Amino acid sequence: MSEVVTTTMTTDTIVGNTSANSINVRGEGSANTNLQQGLIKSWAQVDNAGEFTLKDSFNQSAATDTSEGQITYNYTNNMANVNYSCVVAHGTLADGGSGHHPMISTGGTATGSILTWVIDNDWEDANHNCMQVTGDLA
Amino acid sequence: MSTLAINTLTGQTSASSINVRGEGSANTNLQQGLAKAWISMNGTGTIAVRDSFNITSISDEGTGLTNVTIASDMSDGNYSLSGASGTYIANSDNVRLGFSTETTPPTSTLFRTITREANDDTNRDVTYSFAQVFGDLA
Repeated sequence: MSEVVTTTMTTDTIVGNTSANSINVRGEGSANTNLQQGLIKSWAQVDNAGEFTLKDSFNQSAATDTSEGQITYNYTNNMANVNYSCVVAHGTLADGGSGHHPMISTGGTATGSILTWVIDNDWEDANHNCMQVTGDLA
Repeated sequence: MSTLAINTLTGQTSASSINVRGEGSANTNLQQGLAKAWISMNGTGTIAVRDSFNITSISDEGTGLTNVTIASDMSDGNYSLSGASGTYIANSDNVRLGFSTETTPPTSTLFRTITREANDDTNRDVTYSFAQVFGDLA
């Protein structure tokens, strides 16, 4: 076992030593957590109420306006499988309504499809569509 | 096994970018993968922060409406938000958490959560609500 003690480390890339894909990080208490598993692998914000705009993102090659109320997200670096965790949210509609449900339709290793659904069963475009993905990168 | 004891990590080529080997062969990015803020709130009675990270304060803006102020600012309002709500304690009905964006869009310093009962589309104060922020710090 080796130990390096320093105040500030400057580096471009971090790779696990025993396993390249696993680095333990001391948590807020005495337990360790895992760096790779704790990092979000993709996030995005899309404005879909007016002109379709990918406002900002991480690990997204493109987001497309699939149809009304439906957005398809495309990962730059693919996920390892379809068993990742995805959460979504969006803002209020132009009329101030918020009685709509963000839903996830299908997930692939390269794409995920995020649907927004209003309570009266109509698909509807909304502002500030947000998605966040955690899981295993390929 | 090797251990690195450190206080600060900084990118070498770019101070704000460090690659991390993911679960497979692809790299992900340390800075982009870290949550920049999170909060657990009690919105009933005198609203209160149960626990949080990088949050200065919350304010009660009316039934079901809470402004959340970020401590270290985001670079803009284009970050990705997600959240969830507990049930409405009066009747155990489902409550959705969204982000009020038409009147109070997310900014670098503030976002507004809205909790609304699913059955009757009425804003409700709830005992448990949560929000997470991913995106670019200023």
